[in-house]
Amino acid sequence: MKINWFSPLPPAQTEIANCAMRVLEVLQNRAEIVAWTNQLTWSSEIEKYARVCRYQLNQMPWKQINQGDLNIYHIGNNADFHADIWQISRQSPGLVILHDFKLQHFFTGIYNKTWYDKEVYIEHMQKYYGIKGRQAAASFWLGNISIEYMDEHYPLVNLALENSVGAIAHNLNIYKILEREKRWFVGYVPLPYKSQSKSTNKINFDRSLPYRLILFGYLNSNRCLDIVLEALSTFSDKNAFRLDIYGRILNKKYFTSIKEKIKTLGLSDRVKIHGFVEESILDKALANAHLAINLRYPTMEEASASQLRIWSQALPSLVTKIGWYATLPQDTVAFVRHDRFVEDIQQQLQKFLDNPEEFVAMGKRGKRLLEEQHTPEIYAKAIVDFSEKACQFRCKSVGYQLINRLCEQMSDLSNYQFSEQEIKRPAEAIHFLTFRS
Amino acid sequence: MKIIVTTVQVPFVRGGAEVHAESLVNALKSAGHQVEIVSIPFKWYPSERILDMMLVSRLLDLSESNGKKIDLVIGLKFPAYLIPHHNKVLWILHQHRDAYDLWGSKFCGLSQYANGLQIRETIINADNKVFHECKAIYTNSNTVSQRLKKFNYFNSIPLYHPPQNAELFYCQDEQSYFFFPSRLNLMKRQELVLQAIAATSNSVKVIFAGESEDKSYENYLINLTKQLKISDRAIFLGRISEEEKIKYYSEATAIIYPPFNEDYGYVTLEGMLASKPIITCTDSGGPLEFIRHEETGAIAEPTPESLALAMDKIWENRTWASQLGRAAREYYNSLGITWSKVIEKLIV
Repeated sequence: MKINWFSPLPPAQTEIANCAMRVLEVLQNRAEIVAWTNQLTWSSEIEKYARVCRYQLNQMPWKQINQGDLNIYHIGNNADFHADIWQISRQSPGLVILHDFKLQHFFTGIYNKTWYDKEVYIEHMQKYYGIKGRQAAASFWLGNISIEYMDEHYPLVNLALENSVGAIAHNLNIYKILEREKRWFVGYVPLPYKSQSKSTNKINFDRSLPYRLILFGYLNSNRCLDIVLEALSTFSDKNAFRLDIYGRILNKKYFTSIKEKIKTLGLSDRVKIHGFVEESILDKALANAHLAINLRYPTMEEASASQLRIWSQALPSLVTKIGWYATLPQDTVAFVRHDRFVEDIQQQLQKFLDNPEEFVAMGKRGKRLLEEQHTPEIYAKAIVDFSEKACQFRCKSVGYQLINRLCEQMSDLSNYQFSEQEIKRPAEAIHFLTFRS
Repeated sequence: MKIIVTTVQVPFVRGGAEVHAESLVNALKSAGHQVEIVSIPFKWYPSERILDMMLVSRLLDLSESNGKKIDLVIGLKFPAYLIPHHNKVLWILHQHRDAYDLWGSKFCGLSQYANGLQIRETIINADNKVFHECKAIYTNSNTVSQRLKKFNYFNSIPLYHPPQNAELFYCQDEQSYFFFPSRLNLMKRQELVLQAIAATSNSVKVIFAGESEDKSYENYLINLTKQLKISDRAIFLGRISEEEKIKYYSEATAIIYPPFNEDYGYVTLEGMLASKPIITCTDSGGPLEFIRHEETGAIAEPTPESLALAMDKIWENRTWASQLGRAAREYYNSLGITWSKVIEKLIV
């Protein structure tokens, strides 16, 4: 099988690029891969696993692309990395790997911040959510509705999957939602992670105080950093912990407010912001930490690569009981309810102090889960299996295009009044052409 | 019987397919049947139009007309052969070749579209399903049958038919030229012949008859002729009458016809009817079913050098050329290609 792989590639500053590296390393054993990118530069390591071709959106080499058996498109919420990929996916139907389910950030990144095209955004919202969607879009554009509200009620995943032949989710709940629509081929496979650490370094638990909490990754406001600080500051035994924060805080205003909060809450000697560090330094920090804090609110329903990294170190963790996190086995993570954040965080910290061994065991179970379900080998096998099945859906997706075109024409002619007999013959014709016998 | 022949036509473009359909209708009428052609105007760009054409074909109802039952539908071309009927026979001139043997080649337009692969698979899917609906599948050549077998895994029977005005072809003393009657088209490879002329050792002359649906390609050929400095040896007549065409055949030293993977190729049969040797190429498809190397013509590699060698050899040996031409005519006669045999098979 020959696969065209459209994804951000390292050194792009996104976990999806790292994911590509992990997967392609093993996927190359099962399929011939051409990795397509619009980046000017990419890690030379990727060329060990795939032929890399650069594309420009206005000069797509379709003939070359069409020599592949299937295009695989990676779609996530960052328009900088995924806008071009999405545009290609709409033109040349393929299999979409959804790294996020709630995609308002992505589409507003395109329509609101890049193309400044209010009308098209509103039309899309009307297409998928009717008149209510149109009204919400107009109101959102004026700043009267928050993006979190839009994400919750209008995830726009159908727009991301427009013309696609199938979708792959890393979240079982998302898989079930998409499967219910019976519109595409849908597959589920856990997000892959290449476990670096062979030994569980938490075997000899270091009981010296303070215990080290760690929070890392791309630090947006949905990482609940301010709430963690608040919980820590009012926790009765706060001196038993220190918190290390690693990663980029992209929003400068947010960064300033966090720094201020650390000062105001009197946590300057308990909390340290390290910023972005090299991978090896972060790995060392994770290896030396006692408990990871990996909260999200709201969540885009995505599977968390950070969580997999935490498990790879057999590190216990606190996670929010929403989205993908809520689907995790309860003996592999410690849950925090989003409407009881401070209370639950403090309760879990107390449990940790009372019985750290239980948390050590939790971390080990997480690592076992990672090794059993999240290996790149499992992922690569699933990708090839799904790709073979998705190819069978290519004609079916033409059927939906024909249905849309026909309905538009018939609606114009008959003002939405169709008899069953009128619809039967075109339906049979489309079925004949586009469904495999 | 009331019979409908279904085909497609690109408006204002006329070629072998149109002649084929009309000749079939005439033959059926001569056999006493009531016959009509249903022709769908075909457009293949942008690629979505192909899907529209397929859907339109599938929506047509040819089960009866004016309250009178239509007894038989004979489908000739994609997508007109998708039109449903309870008693349908296919006599396939060719499928939508962009989706099959031409896919990904320099001749393929479909693979240059973003959704080309998707449309390709839809075409193949629809073809496979429609083949199951038919009472019988015939093709116009073994070349087309082989494609069906290769890409769709269907068996079919080649059914040769005579070219239009077969009885009017004759042979006269040759007037020192090769004749290449065909639409000017990338796949007919006039360009290859021009390059071959430039590579010949003799002052070989080729007369081209036919026009192009693409003016820029015609201009390209004219410019190439100038670049190769063979303007006096490559003559472009443009469109000529049937009568003129038969005369050019009759006085040619040989016929040159090296298309890429042709379905059938009337030119081959017309050359044989005019008792002329035919020069073709190893990848020319249909012509290879009739031409026997150095018995009824010459088969060269599809390179200017190889083609030039074959042209030189015939140019230098006119007596031998006449012998080959006579053998070609005898071979044609031995094949027993008649409309009555075709009709006998198609009427079920």
